[in-house]
Amino acid sequence: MAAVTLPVVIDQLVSGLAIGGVYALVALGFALIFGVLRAAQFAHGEVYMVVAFLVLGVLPWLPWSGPLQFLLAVVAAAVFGAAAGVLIERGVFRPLAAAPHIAPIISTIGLMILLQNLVAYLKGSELHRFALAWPQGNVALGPASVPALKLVIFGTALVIPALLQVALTRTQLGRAIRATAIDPETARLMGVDTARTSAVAFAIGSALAGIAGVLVGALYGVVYATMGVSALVKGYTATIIGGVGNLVGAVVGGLLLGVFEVLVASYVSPRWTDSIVFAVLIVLLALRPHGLIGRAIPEKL
Amino acid sequence: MSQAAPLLAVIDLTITYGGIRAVEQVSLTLQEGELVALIGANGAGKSSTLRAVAGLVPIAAGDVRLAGESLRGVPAHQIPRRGLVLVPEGRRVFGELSVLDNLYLGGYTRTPEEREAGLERVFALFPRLKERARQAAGTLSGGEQQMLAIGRALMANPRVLLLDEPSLGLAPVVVEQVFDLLRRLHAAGVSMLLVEQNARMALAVADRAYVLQTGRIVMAGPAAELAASDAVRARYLGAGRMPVPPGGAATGPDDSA
Amino acid sequence: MRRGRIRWLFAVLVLALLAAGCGSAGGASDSTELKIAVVGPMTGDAAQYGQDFTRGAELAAEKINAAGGVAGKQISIVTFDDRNDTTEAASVAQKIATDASIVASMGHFTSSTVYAAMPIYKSNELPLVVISASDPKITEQGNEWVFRVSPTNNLGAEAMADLIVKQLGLKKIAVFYLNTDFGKSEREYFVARATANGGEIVLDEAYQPDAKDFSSSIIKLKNAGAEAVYLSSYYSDAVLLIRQAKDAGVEARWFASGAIISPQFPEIGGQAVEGVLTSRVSQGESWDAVAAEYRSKHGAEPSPFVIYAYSAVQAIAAAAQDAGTSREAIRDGLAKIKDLETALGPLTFDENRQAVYQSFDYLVVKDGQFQPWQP
Repeated sequence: MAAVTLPVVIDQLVSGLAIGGVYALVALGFALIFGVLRAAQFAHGEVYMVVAFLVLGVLPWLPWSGPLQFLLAVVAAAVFGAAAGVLIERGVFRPLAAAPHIAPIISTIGLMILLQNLVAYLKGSELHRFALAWPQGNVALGPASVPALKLVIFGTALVIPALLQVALTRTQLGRAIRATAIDPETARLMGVDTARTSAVAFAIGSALAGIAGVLVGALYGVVYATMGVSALVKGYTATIIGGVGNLVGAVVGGLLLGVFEVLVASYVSPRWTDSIVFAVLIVLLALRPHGLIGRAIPEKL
Repeated sequence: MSQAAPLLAVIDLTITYGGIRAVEQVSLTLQEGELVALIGANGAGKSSTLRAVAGLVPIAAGDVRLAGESLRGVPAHQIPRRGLVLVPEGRRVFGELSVLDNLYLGGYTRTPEEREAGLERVFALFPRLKERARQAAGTLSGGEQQMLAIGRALMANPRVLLLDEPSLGLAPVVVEQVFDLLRRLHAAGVSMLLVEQNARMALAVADRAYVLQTGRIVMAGPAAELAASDAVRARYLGAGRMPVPPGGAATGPDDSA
Repeated sequence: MRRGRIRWLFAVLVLALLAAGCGSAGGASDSTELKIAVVGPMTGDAAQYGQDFTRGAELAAEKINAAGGVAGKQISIVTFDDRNDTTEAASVAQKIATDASIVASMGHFTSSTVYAAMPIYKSNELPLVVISASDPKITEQGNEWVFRVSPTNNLGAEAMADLIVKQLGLKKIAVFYLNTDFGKSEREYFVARATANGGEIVLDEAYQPDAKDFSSSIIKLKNAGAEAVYLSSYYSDAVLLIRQAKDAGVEARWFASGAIISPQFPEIGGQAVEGVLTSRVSQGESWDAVAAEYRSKHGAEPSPFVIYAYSAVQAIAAAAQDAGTSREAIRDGLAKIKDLETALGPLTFDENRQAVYQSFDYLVVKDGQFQPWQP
């Protein structure tokens, strides 16, 4: 094991925050959708996967390199993600609005399997190279030298939730989404078209998943048909850490999960990462059923 | 005034829940500027009637007309835009949102300019809400939450305000404040349809009233006449008891909830 | 209307479940057929290898069938999916071994899945030809129903340890290995030979089969001072590790197990994997001939697993031709194979039913392809 020095620790933290940022975006989208529709979107990870493949497909059509290519890839991911979200909301959730609660859950599980197999069939189940021209190389951060890509991913995973927070608290649409999540009937009494608001929340949540898919593609350098499974598991874990339905908690939970994973892999063993993470999760659920910061932040959604 | 077309007309309204009739052929009217009370025992169908008018419950038969236009089949979220707003039972403020956010949501169907104007109006009416604008609505007291619920409805600048049990679950002193407020709104010309179990208070502020019993209207007339009627006194105002002295803390049999 | 839509959704769901769960079912027994099961990961992360198995086996079957088949029968290839999962491998093996129309099985990709399946073949008396799993101990179990045409991993691992320490003089070595029977056993042979050669293992790091993020391991590598890195990995892990390490600024020479040889390795790795060294059993003209056939049919370079699968079918066909088409006859026929001309070159099974290999070639990734390495 490498000596524990400041540069090593900085390097580890940046790695943890980068992958944690991806988890945070997935978790945030998951929590937003859950908050408004009161149903888990099990195909959320597949949105992440499908969007990563779609962006991989359009990358050759983005002639720009450098930060502009990165920005456009993120924007394209958001657009594809939102479109996928609208389709899923219209196709799966809305027709089942009056059906028993279990129906949309089963349907999204079916959709998850369907999309995974469809992409595996069309694109093969092997890894597909995913490379963005920017950012490359390392940058100095204090005494450490860390990959620029990881810093940019972490930064993106901070900026996007911050923008979302502003949108949710400062705009009428944002207020309407939050009101719909808290009490849909009363929201309707205010004149809020809750079906439309739910669709918008679904689209935003799915756009976040799409962005996360592109970021993780850049981080790992590959995309593959089964990548959505771990995204769903990690995103779900992050929402539990943060407290279900708590948007700030989802982001903090994602970042904590990423850092915790890297620390366990570094100081225990990569072999035990998942086992230890889930053991801690179970203990956490037993001790604090509302999540690590579930009660500390009164403002849920 | 009585010969003018009513602002709100409920015509032969029937509501069913799974085949069971909760409200049967209820008809009532509300004129411009009037405060009309709908009283009756628990389960008589008062709330169902209001919810049907607001579009939350489907109308099985009959019609609801606002200024002559039918509201039947209009989705609930389109009704505030037409000028009718319901203050729901139990206040239903968005507890995790700030007071200000609650008010902005009340003005959801209005333009930004109208919203700002509405905010000034509501803050003038409820200085307390202005002081607490940034606070989460769930941290307000019960009475303040009721003020917020009414203020939120007023943000839409409605032609008709429906109030469902505004005094429910409030301390007697606060109940007084709520009815004071209703008097002030009435004086300001707001047209209101009020559902109340606290019949004594309701009849004290209303112009006219309807008495609902097991889904049907059994009595109607000017509030003062009904308050004086033996049947109403026996059944809804507590037999043999004197009217409440002004500012008194007496509670009727129905509002102990 | 609504009910109709719900029904439609359920139909889609059922279809999806079927698509996820099914393998190809065996048809009815037919005495004019010599039915051989090909089993491996047909879905999931490792599906590429299952496809290699299938293509190699089918290519050989077509060739043999076109030349008149075996003892008057046409070879028919039936594929089964074990999803590279030990539990699934055991249950699929049970399904194959109890299907009386199948006379031989070949495959299971990893050593772990082979270990899970091999007792089932033995108790049901069906010969299994291993075509990729490389733990030497597989053929040291005394299971007389299990044969292997592919090489054991100790050979390649030891050849790589000799190259790194003796030939190139790189002493400080970091080792990454997949935490499976394959990875652990290959690492063991590599480390033993490398240290015996005078090398020093400065980092010895296991990773999980589904790992995609190697950040924490790479930070250790960055600070370990390694001159050479050896990977007991498959191409998918190796390519990720190398790319992520190079992105993080690790400077070392990279070496890997022969298991990484696949067209996807340079394709996905791109510039990052240029110069990576590996080894493979020496190829003769017969290998090149099959590779040419494969190229003309599939338009891509075959991985070694294609050649192993091809050779396994050739071996089974030869055994059936010589000894008869029953399971037992094929087993006996396989055991007697000596200097059989196959895609791999002359094939001989030793007393443990393991194919004998003599020499190794070193390969380097150059210009996006595996090419013979010149020192």
